[in-house]
Amino acid sequence: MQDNRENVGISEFRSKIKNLGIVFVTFALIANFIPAVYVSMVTGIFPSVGDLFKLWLAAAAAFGVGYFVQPISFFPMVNMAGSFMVWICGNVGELRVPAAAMAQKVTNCEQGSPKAEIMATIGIAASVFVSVTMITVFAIAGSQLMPLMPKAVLKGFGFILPAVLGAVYADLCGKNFVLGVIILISSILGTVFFPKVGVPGGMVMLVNILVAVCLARVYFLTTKKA
Amino acid sequence: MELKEIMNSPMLWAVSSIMIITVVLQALVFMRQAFKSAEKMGIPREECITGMRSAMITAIGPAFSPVIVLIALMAVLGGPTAWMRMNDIGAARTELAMSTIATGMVGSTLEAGKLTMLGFIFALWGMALNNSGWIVIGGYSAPQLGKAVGYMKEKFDQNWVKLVMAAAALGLFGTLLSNALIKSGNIVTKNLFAGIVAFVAMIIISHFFKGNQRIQEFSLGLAMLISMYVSAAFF
Repeated sequence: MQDNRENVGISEFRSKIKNLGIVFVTFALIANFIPAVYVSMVTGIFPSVGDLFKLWLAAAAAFGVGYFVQPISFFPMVNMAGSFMVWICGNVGELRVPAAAMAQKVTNCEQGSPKAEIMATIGIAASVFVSVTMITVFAIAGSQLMPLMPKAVLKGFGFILPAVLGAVYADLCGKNFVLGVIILISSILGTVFFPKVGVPGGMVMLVNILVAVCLARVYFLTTKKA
Repeated sequence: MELKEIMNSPMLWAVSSIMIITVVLQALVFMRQAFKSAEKMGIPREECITGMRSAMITAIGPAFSPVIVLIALMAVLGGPTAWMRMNDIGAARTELAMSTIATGMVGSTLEAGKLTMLGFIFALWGMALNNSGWIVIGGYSAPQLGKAVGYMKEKFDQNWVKLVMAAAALGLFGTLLSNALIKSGNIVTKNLFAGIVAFVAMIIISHFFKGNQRIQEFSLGLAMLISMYVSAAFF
């Protein structure tokens, strides 16, 4: 009974979000270009089509692999509703996924369940309110606020990324602790050595993920026997 | 109009705010829909609020990361552009790299005071073009990816699918963590130390305070703070 109610609820949720999502993504795509168009209009300097193409090519060469690899890699963690949000508001790995994971954790969601999908949506939306507020406050008052912070506080800021990602990784390990440690070691080694053997920067993440899945397969087979 | 004037002009603040309004409005609409659907699915409202509160607490720490880059970016590209670009897609280093490439194409540079009007305009167009890659592919492909995951869950062994997803997530975050630990091919000791402290702190909090709901809500933020300040004390 409960299961059925959950399934009906989540399919209704998905179909509503699908329509809303497409609308917001389109808005965001337009909003993304408005400042550039505005400044070009005010100054009368428009880059030529050739220049725009060159710019786009430079962007695609540097980050193009990420356009595809990242949305696919993050999808299982953020789901459809989350994807609609995070590819507009950014900071996916270090901010949105941790917020979603915590919302799921404190409400005891089973991974991949309809409830987990709802909680990830709530978590990501909640993180947007926090980050937009903070960035806006600092954008308006930042240059005055930063020097007022104690030196010790500023020093700690230098460690934000390893600190948040280390904690998220520990959380992700969860029940598969041994596998987690194995994959972490393989990822570190991969990040150091793959670029040295000619794997392009944008592909390292993809190769690391593939290695991780292969390791999981081996782990799955060996633990199943035992 | 001079570059300095236009970079921080009220009109540029206004046109840059459209993206931020879109982001906030979307979060509001999605949050409302999630609460409504949760009710229909029999998830108590209090649980939704607990999840929301925990996510908000967790977000505070990591949000300082874009804040710091914001301050630096404001000095070169002006308030409105830095504000908009730190609130939308494109990691801080991506926006920096893209605007460096774009300004370089017209022989300008991002250094404060040396940026030309043409350089600024190219940086704006460059960032917009780059970000649209994620918006288009990440956004519009979301429903298709949803279908693909649903198909995988139906066709393959459940335990195996779960493990593949867990492994892919571990590989993904293993790489992100590695990127934070490794600079130009070498492991940075102090960052490695910070990563390990956070990892251990998170495990201790998750295991030893398992029954304490309040502490669990804070766990990620707490582990992060411990790591940041233990590391700052040592290095």
